Amino acid sequence: MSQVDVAVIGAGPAGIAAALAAADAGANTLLVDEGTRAGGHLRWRISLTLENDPGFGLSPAVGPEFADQLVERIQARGNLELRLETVAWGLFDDNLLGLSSANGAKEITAGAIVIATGSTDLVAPFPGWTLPGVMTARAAQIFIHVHRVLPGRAWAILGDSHEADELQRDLELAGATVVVRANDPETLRASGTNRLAHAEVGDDVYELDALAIALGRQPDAELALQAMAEATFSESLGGFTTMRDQDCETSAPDVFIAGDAAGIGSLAEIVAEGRLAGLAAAGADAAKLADARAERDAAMSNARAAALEELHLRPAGA
Amino acid sequence: MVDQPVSKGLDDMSKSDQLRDYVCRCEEIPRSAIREAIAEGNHTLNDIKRRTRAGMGVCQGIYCLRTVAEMIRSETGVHPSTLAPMTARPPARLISLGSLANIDPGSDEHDGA
Ligand code: FES
Repeated sequence: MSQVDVAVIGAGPAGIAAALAAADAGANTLLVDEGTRAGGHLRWRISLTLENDPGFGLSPAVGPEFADQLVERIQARGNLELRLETVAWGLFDDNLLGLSSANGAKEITAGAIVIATGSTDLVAPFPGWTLPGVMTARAAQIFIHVHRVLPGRAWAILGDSHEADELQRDLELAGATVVVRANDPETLRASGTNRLAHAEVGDDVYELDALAIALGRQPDAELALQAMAEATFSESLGGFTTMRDQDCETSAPDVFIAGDAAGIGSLAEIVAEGRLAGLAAAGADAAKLADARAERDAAMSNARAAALEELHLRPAGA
Repeated sequence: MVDQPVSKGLDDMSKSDQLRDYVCRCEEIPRSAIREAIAEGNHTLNDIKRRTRAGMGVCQGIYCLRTVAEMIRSETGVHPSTLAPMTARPPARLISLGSLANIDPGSDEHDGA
């Protein structure tokens, strides 16, 4: 007998969408996150919800405020429990889930699991990239928007991703200067005694106190892989992730994957996918599932649709 | 744009800094070690992990395996899509042995812990 009907790992936008959908379909649902607050990257990519609601039916707002509205919604559900500062460290046979918090480690069983563990930043090594002062774009955004610290005045940004553009805007709004943008890690060299002081980009040298690596993001599907879900690699989805059927179920029975963990996507895409995965995990009726599928398809860009097609998605229930 | 010679940047980079072209920063594995392992015939992520320790650090390969996959691609032509990801093993995050030893399976009371 499972202790919860549905356990959702990761309380970012996709995980929250999944947990709310599962709870609304009547499932006794547990939502865990390792952070101190729910909201995932809405807490540090603060402009994503500034003008558009990604599909929650809320008013657009700056990221952290948008996340707070989602938390209120979570708290209004009697059959949905949010556990923060809780790490999901293992996923074993029969949906046995290893959790750990300040109170120690424990194992619980869930009828179904939704993995919504999001993404990590891509990096590329170059000489000096381990010097203090060199960080990922995400680290820079967390410093600024979560901890309210500006970790440098003069910056270089590596990468021409839209994460790089987003970071440049954030840095400039925070009063820092982006001295140089570099696109190729092969021609970049960071140096300094004990910490970053200079970067060479090709033949030019720049004085800096921080350098952000903004090469884009990759899915974090490690728990699904632990559960022996069939893996795949897709350039356009950001790297290694897992196969899944049209309702986001992986080849590991009752293990679903959604959001950036299933392939880097837009906020609208990952929210629609999270909702579908939550409903499917909760065993919602066919009509509800069909609606959620249609919404997911409507939110999905041609690029993601093509990427998923290329992966030969598992047929439903196979 | 700072108008100073390139050598300024190189001057304050000590010899060891120059060598610090780590692919795997957790385990301090330089690019040269990965390249050597590939040349020896290790062409999968698991083989390179076993040969060099790249991927065995606290981040569990999050920050290095993609680079290793790209190096395999550039040195051997093997595309990442035909590579299996490194075998994922628990724990996915650092947890103490003590807390694992004290696991009480099925003790969850929905107590918010
Ligand atoms: S960078 Fe290789 S294990 Fe962390």
